[in-house]
Amino acid sequence: MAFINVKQKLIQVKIVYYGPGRGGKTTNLEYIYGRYKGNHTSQMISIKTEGDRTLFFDFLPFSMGKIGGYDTVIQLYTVPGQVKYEATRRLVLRGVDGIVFVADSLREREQENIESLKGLIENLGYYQRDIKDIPLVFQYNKRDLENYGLQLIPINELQEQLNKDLKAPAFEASALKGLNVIRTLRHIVLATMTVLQKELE
Amino acid sequence: MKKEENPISTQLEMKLKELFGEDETEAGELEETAEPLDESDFIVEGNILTQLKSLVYSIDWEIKDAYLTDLISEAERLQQEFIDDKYLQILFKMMISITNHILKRKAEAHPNSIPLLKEVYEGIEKLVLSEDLPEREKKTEVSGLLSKFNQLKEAVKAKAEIKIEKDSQVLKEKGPEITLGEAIQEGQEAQKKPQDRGVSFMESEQRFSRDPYEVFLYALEELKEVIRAEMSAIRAELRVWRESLK
Repeated sequence: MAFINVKQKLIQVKIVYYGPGRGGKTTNLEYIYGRYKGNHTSQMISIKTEGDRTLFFDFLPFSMGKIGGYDTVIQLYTVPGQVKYEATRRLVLRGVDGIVFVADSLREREQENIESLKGLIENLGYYQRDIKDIPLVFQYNKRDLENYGLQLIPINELQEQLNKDLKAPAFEASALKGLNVIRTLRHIVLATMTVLQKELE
Repeated sequence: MKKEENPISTQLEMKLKELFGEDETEAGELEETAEPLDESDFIVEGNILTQLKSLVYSIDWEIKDAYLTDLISEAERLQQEFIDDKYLQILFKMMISITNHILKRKAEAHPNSIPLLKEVYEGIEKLVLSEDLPEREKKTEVSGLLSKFNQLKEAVKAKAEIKIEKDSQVLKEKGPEITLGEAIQEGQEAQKKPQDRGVSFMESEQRFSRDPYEVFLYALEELKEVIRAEMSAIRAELRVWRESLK
């Protein structure tokens, strides 16, 4: 759960970008980092090894200033998407307040999306948490690749495969080009803060 | 019925717009709204501690041998870099000791070891990056961390004592708590022969490779020795310094 210090009027919110490897989670954070107009009190930490893939995690904290009288800090995390890093993915999900599931729109990544979502549900189960109780936003990334003649999974098919039961808000996006990246962020922050506000009340 | 507006949501909306600007282009109208970012934009503070910081944060999330060994190597490298700074020497030694503990116990390492590792890093960062930090503040910082380190050491030892009743003879040898003063005095030898200690640690790993508990106990003893030796050197230096003031 979020770190809430009522005495010091401080809230730290943890939002995790989850999804299959090479899906664009880190690119999302890089874009957000580039767009941030506030004071960078803490820089993005990105640990990349083995062919520039995130084997560990990215961490981007940013201050929202005072919201409802509370100093609010949003902490964005990504997880390594590669299958073999299950333990890390599980660890990063500890205490998560909101999740953005970044799905890869490429047809050839269809199965990886499904497996990744299944893994997310299982990993949350490890902490006795139900995905339906956590603010969630789907982002169908790499939509721009259609312009390069690559075969993409149509949005309605992605919705059917991933979001049929969850019925979470979903956005098509291109993290590389900045399409709907901030919109996704805005949506998850609002959804997460609304839940936290209710808890505070 | 008119929907009631949530003042928090409104504040959030405004703040998010202020921080990140307006929405990007609508779906289907792709435009290059941002220049590709250079890799260098994402490198954590470009100072001498960059690598160390990344490694400490890595361990906070995943306890992995490669990160731990890299952290030890980096701490040792920096230890040599700051060879003349007695306070940093203590902190680097602490960092190496805690990391060795985590390396051996991994997920079963004491729950306070990783938070303390981060605190030690923050102490190092404070001392390295605050050039004009008064001597007294440096001492207070190191002393506070040392006290926490001692508490952790005792907690680890207590846990080990419960687990290994058959080794009670060894476990009952409870070493005295290390004070900053003692540690400073005993650190002299450590400063003289840092490589020797490293070798003995490695040897101990091979010697006790059969039983992880034995390895852990030995590591504790090593850790105690390292700290004592490290501190004695600093204590000696302090004594010389006091005498010079008379």
